[in-house]
Amino acid sequence: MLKHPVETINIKANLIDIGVANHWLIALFEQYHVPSNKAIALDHCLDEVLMNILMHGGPEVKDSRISLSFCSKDLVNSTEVNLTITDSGIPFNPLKFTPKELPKTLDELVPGGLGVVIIQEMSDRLEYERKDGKNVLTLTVHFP
Amino acid sequence: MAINFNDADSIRYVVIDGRLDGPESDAIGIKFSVLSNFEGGRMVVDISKVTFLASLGIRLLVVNAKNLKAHGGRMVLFVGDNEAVASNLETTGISALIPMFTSLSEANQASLA
Repeated sequence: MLKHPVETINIKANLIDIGVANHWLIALFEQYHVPSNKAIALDHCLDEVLMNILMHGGPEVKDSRISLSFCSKDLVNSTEVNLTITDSGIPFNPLKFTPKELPKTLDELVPGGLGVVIIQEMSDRLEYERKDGKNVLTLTVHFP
Repeated sequence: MAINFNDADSIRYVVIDGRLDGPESDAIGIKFSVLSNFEGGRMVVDISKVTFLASLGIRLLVVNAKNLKAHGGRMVLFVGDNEAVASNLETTGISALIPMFTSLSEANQASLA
């Protein structure tokens, strides 16, 4: 069975380390020749997921460990990149999140929930499991 | 990331450039709120040079557009030829609630309407 290289990093749940994770991911895009449209999409998704953990992961999540792993797989006619984010925040499955309908006026608009919409729109595939008390979310993009 | 402003012809121009991701949105949040907090203000927010617009950046625009409107003012967005940012605002439906323009002169007119 073909083994695919996996790159990993552990960060803390805080704003500084979210910046560290972003730089780590951008370097991997160059190393693995991820096209810019898919790189932008995955970069966006990572920012949304990490900010979501920080803001909504619960009182214990601040400065807790978040593990990231990146894997690029050459398939028959395409390449697949998986980015897995593991955190110990409160359980949250973005696949079960139903975006609220946008109101017709600005006055009625209550901010919130857009991050999950962006994740759903920008990734080609989302997988979630709750494992050993942690959220394990894998974002996938494909390209030729 | 930078946020600057100037007032001209009864319009406040707020120019944001760079990466408006989660941490940067947090960093400019207070300054943007202060700039948006004036009675009856007309504001054009130039995000044509924003390279990355996260949901927290959009939230910043929404909160301050609502605040400005509550004080009798109006905020419009100028995106120029920044297709990525325009697409993001369209996908999330925000462009239907905060007017968005590719032309600065149209943005100016709309802010004064």
